[in-house]
Amino acid sequence: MNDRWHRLSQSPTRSTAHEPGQSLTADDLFGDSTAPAASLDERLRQAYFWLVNSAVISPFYDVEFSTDAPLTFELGDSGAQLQLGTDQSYSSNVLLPLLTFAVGGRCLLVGGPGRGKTTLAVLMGVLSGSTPIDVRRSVLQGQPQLTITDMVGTPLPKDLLAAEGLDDVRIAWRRWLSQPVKIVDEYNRIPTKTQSALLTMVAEGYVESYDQVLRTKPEGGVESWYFTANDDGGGGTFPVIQALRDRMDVTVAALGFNSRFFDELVARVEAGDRPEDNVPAELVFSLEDRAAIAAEIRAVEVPTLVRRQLEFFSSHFEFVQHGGRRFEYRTKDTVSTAGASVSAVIDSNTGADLEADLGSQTISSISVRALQTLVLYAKAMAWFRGESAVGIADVAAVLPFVLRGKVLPNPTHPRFEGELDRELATDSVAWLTDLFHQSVRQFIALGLASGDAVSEQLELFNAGLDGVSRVEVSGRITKIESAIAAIGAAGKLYGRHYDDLLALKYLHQRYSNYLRWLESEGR
Amino acid sequence: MIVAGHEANAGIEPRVTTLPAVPGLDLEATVERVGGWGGDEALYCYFLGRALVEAPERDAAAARVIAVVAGWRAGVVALRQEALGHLAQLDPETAAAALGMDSGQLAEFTAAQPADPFWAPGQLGVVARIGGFRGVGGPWIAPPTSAHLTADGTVAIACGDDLWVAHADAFGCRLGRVDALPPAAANTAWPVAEVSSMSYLVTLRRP
Repeated sequence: MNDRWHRLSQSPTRSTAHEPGQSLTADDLFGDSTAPAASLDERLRQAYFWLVNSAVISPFYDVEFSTDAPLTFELGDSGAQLQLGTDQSYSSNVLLPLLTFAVGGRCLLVGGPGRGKTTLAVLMGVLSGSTPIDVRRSVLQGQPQLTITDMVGTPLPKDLLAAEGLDDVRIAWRRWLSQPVKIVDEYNRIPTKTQSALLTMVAEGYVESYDQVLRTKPEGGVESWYFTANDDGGGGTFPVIQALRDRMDVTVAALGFNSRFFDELVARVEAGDRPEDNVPAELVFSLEDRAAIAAEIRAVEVPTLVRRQLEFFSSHFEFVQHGGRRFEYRTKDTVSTAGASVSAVIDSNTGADLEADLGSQTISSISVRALQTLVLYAKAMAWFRGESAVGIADVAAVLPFVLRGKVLPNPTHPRFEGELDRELATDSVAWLTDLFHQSVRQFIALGLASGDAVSEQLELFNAGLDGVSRVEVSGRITKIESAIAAIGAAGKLYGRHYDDLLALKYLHQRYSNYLRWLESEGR
Repeated sequence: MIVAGHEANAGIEPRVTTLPAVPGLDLEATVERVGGWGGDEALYCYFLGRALVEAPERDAAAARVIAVVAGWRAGVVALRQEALGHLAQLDPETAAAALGMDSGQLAEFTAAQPADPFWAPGQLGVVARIGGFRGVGGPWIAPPTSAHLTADGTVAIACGDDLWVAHADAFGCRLGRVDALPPAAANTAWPVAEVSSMSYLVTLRRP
């Protein structure tokens, strides 16, 4: 292998020099302590640095982390800013596909042609242990004539002739279905009917034809999907069905080429090299490695304070005043499934503080699926950085890529008309990041970091009802009713109130049921 | 210009020497490790070389102990426990050479160390200046605003919102970020920590 490709980052890729206060011995001084084999997160970081430094040349650090205040430069006269992070930062167009590789997720790569979307996906396939030829052959190429049979395989002709029932028909399944990394190129050029068959594979991990079922996920292993599209809006030959679009765990843009690194392109043209043909063997992950990585990621802790901030963020977006008559149905989903305009309903809520009401910036809420994906990718981000618990910075790093295309901006919100924030209407990553930071600031300003009444009520309930007397339950019910009255008296309701009120109603119902039971038992 | 450093090194001009060879040991590799752990490589070579010349037996076992002691003396705080634990294995002249002191001071030094890790012979006033401006290799982009010694002998330092703890002794210092500063503890045997709005250094000084 050309040595140019074999430059691996030296361990540790994330500084783990001995911690201050930690003692060293003569064995350490003379290097007699046996260095442990590189951990899985260390190996994945090495893969990351090889990808950004050697494979796709991505000198971007748009996923920024800082240990102290980042240095910010004001640029030009249009409000542009360049930030210099003070901790190890990453390139989104390599990091998010790599995290998808780690968790067994689904990544949509968008961007103009020739920006390395398919190359990155092929590299993920090679990292999983497949040969470059196998990976390239297995790429499902979206095109308008693609049928379900083309995609999944054909029944064996002799079985078709001889079969007395569907059970007798065997299917020659297409090879790509069993690859640990599946690549669908230009998925927005696949006809709608075929997209539906693809959806079953993506969502459920199996494919069915002539009543025969093939499990596409490797047994005991991890399966990752990569989709490419030339633009985010699904504009291609066919619109992408919402259910398939919603299955994309992360959406990331393929970033442009920085012309200052042209010499490397010239070298590749002269050598006829392709990065996927030169992946160092040390960077390949076996099925067992990937299963272990996925398990380690899921085990990363989400601290209570981080969870509370996530809860608070997700609470903003479901509620819309005047969305319905019944309180539970005052949601954006009620409005959109009725075919009405969520923007218009938001606008009709006169007197609301649109700056405080973060939910008014969106016309959609965050689905449970998206929230679960957000938690998983935040864990993956923390694990990748060698942390044992998720930090708020990990959540902020992955959130815009998870929610892109799922949480949609309200185009009539004054924010997107203002001079300062006009770019947010087109830069959804920056908008979602800013939305999250606004939520974090609100969380702190409301004093929710030190606790809140609804959380306390929920914790009290979750401690169990064994031994709780009728008097105690009655007292708790009265407290809940008082809390509801207090929220109602505050005036304008916002998203967080909606979730709080419904949680209080939930508690009221549970306690009331218990009280009736106690009374019926004569206790 | 006042720079970070320990007073124990004042006046020492380590002359670069070739380290004597010791069969079975790669002393050159230890030099790089000492530097990576915050020690001064030139001082390490200086004290290690002097002690190896002084040592009656230049075998691997003795050389390992000498290297640990010299590494500690060169500023690797993390080697302190290992060095103190094995110092008695060296004869007084060798140990004193590795520590950069006279053999007559050795007994007083080893007796004082457990209770006062900042003590070194002839110490008056300033023990050390730690920290510094990041632009010239220090850790901080703003002058420290407060500093105090804690119950376990570390130095808790605040640089505005950035919080640090320094593990320091008579010869070296290692800084690390913390989320919260440990409380101050009064120990009259130890130096006090001083800050100044005009300086990026924290001064450890015996009152």
